[in-house]
Amino acid sequence: MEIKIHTIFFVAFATLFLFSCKKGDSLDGDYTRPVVEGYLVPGKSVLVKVYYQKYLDDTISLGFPVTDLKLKISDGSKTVELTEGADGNYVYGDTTFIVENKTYSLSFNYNSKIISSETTVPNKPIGFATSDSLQKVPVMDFGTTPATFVPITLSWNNNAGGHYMMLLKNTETSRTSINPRNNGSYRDTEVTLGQVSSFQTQQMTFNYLGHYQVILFHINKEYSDALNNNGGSSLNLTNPYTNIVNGLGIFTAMQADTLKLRVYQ
Amino acid sequence: MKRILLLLGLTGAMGINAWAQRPLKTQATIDGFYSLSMTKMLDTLSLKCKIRIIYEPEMLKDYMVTDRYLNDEVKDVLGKICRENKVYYWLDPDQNIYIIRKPEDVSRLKKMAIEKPVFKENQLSSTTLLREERVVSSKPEPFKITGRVVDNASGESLPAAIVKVRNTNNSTATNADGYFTLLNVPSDTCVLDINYIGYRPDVYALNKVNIRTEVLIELFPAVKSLNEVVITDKRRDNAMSTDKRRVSVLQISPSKLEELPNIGEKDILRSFQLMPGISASNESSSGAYVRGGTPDQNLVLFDGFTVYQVDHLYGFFSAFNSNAVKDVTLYKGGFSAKYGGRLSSVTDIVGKEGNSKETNIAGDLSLLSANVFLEKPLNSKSTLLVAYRHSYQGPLYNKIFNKFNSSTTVASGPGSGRMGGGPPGGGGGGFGGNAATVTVPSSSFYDLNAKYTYAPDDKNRFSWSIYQGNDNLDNSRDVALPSFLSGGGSISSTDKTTYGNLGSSFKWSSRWTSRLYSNTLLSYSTYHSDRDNSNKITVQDSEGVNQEISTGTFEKNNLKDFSLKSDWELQAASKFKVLFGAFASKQNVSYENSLNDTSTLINQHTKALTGGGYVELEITPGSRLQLNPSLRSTYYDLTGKMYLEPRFSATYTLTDRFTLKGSTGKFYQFTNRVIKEDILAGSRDFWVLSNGNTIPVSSALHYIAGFSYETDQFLIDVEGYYKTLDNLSEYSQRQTGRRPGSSGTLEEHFYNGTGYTKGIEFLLQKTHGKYTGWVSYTLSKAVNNFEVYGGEFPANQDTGHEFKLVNVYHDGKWTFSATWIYATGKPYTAPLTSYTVNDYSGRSRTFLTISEKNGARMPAYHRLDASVTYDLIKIDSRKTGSIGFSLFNIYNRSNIWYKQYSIVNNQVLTSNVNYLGFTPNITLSLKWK
Repeated sequence: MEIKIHTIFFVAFATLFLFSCKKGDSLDGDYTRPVVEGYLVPGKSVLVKVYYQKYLDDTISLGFPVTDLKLKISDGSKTVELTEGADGNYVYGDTTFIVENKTYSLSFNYNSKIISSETTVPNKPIGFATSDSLQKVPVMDFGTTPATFVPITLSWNNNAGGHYMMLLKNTETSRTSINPRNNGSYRDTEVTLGQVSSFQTQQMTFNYLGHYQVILFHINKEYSDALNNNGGSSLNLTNPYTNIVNGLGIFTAMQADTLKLRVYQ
Repeated sequence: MKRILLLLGLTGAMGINAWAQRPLKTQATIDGFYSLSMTKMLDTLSLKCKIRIIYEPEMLKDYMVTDRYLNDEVKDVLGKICRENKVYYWLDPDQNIYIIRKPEDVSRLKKMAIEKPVFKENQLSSTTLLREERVVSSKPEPFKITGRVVDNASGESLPAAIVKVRNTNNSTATNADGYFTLLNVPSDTCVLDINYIGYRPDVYALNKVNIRTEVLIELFPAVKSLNEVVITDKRRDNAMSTDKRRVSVLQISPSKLEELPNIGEKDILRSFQLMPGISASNESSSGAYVRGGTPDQNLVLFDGFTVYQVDHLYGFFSAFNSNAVKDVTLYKGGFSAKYGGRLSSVTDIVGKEGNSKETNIAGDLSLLSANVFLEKPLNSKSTLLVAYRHSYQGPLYNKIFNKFNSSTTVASGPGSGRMGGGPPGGGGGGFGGNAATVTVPSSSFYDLNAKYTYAPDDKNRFSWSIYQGNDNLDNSRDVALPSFLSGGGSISSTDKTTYGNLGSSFKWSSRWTSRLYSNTLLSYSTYHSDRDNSNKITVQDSEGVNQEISTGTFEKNNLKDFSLKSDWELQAASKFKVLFGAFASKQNVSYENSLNDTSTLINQHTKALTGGGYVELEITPGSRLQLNPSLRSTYYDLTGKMYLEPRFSATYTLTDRFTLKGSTGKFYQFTNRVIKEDILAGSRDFWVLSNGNTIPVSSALHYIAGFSYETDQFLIDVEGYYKTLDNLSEYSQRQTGRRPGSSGTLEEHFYNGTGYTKGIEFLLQKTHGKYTGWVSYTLSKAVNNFEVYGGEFPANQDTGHEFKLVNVYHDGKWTFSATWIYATGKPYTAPLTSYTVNDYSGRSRTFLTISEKNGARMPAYHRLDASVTYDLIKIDSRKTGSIGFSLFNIYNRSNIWYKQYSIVNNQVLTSNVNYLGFTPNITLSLKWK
């Protein structure tokens, strides 16, 4: 009996060693992937930013810029080289370069690898309209009962199942916050909408009073994919989406249409 | 405490009543002249009159009996023998006879009786005994005998008990109703050996009279049985080695579960986790991870119908009330063509029918739940059983509940979204801090079992079984706004998950002849899982009209399964048994995911028809070899294809102690349970049907080989397996545009891939004595291969090493047990770096890059549990209950469940979310009879 048990354990451990051979994967390659951020909009100059990744315990908000790169963008017939403005910011000043429906490819050499990406400028949104150009936001105050919020509906044609994003830009020079306790700094509100053809406002949609630019962007799916969260625990963490070959981040094009609104109380 | 004392007192009083001597019921008579030792005489009496006499040979060794009896009744004979030798006999309620000198002898004899089988070997081979019978030595003609094996006390039939003709290889197993047929019994002087887990082994001597009728074999429960969990086709006497029909089979006797440590409930599914091949390191799932498979690849049948929700309280407890369960069999792989529709394993649970002899009421009370159980013979032909269990929100319940709900503030809509941006949509947090009234509602689970059995004659049996289990997990908050704010009103944040299963089956089993048996089942099973994670704000406007605004997500999953199946068994010849059957089922699955009670994101309704048949042969060509070829064929209407599943298993008995075994087969699965990535957001899982494109029909191939070696005290069992898996599906939801004021789009992603698992399992079990237990070791590997994750990666359930040590020590009324589990940590995906990009409007978004899918390992999982059980036994040896004290995770090991990554000041911080720490529990079980 004793011998048998020993034999079993011997076999067990022998098998164990067979199983435990594991490739010594080098992870260095992942640290060196540059992070690209570039949004192409017709009628605007081209700006592409390149950053380093951050270590998990870094406290900086953005990664350090990657400098001295030679970025090229081609529209299929013409290739232009971007020049570095601020550190890691690569620009091409010609505002007529980006046009609707053209496909642009970005490429540059980094760490003896070619980093590349490609994107197509989508159509301008069609039939963007609002049910009302005035939005009343009822006063929420202590001791009073607020009036009912009446939403307005913004709509457009989306027969082809396009992806949309909306930007709410308060254009007042001196801004009045709706919520008196809001003392944070102003920021445009961006809403990724997905494949929809309308948007209904809510009480919380607007934070400031006055004139607004409502900018509807027709975007590519890659925009929402790349900015979608990739999980916050070991149960759901996945590789983040990117359309950069040999890199991380996003290189995409979009086109907008704008409406004006006024918010009052 | 007071109540316990009162109960104890009551029990004692009942015990004293039992002292009154009862009459010996047997009408047997004895004839002939005897001159032999008293011990031999008692053996003769017990054999001839089928009564059980327990005595101490040492005490009676000098006594002789010399007398002539003329059809004298046994009770008179016994009385006379005792009087002449100045001893007494004492009768217990099971009609066991104890030969004693003084009352104190009873307890000693009882202990002896427990350790020995009902009859002793030498009683039967004794020549003294046979000399008295006029043996007619005619040429023995092989004949067949039929019979039934039941529990002595309750009359409950015992399925899968093994009946064997001694000293031959002729054996069989009882069917679902306890019936058996043995062909080619060589002579009417043969002896049958009967073995059944949790019961004392018994022998039955054939004679010229009883072979002509249907024999009824009544087994006695093992009071302190050998083991709770035993591999059936090995746990038998050495001679019982021919019925090697089954490979990779585990069986459980629910009545013995209380002796194992538990977290709060005697748990039939969790006990299997102590055996090799079934992973024990998933505290949040009592579903079985069998040989690298996932719980949804395990078919769970209760009285024949499929149960889709097998656990309670986020998976910590199995959904089956062990009091209502008679027998549980787990097929770890290579299972017969009788079962299908799952890739990995089958758990077949048979509910109790109820006591056909007397009414009985029993109850359990633990820190988690209360449990009542009633069984009652309605008339001579029918019985009724009802069992009900309900949890209460005691400390143990809350401890587990809070594991899942402590971090509601980070819970969000479906998909993901814990980092980089506030939690939009759902989440119940944020209101608690107000100086307002917060009411916390209650959560609970319950299950109900009921069964009605009607046997109009001994050929037909009808039974109607109902099972209902439900969980109502509510983490809602109601906040009444103070009146100075908005003139009153309320915010109610709902976070409610309800899920459960309702199933019912109507069974008709019929014995057409002693060789042909059929079992026809009509069943209905429905599963539902609803999740409501929303905020509702009620505000009164100036006219006093309530305005309601709802935001949040709602999910509904519903599955209905309506099935008809008929299983037939034909004992064609002694070496040839045919099992065949047909089945058809209609499944209806719907899944709905909606947002803000206005926009429906996903609304799916799928219906599927499945139908087919199977044939299995049990061939025993020689005395040592047994072959089981089988074929199952299934038509699935959503793909419009026929699926053929050939399977084969074989066993070969090398010596009485050494058996080789192996099996292989093809398995298909048509229904899949989708586990969502994010356990804190939305329903954790839901069922979908394969549709042939995004969710293909998955398939598996099993290859299993092993051997077992048994000595008088020990059992060694080794099995190796290799399993390939094809067309596995993984599902994830990604929502875009989840912001206040936008409904967004919910994208569904289906990823398909392949996988394989392999492993080797060792079991060394001590099967006899005061100290029993086992050591189990599993070395395994589970690998998935999904293109979307860049090829091969360790599956989520992959554990390299699993070591389990189970010790049980019986001493009188005390049982001590301790289990220690060690398992390699589970693989997980770890972040490697982070990076931040600004979106178009300039808001920064931070992401984590990962090295590789499941590339990192959690620290090893280990924990020690222990329990002490004290049996409440009346003086007449009837067990009336027990008090159990159980300690879970004694040294408070922090086993990591998952890691949480959060970003604070741009830094990525990792925190561990742990499984349960040290948890004590106490269970009181009582039964009336």
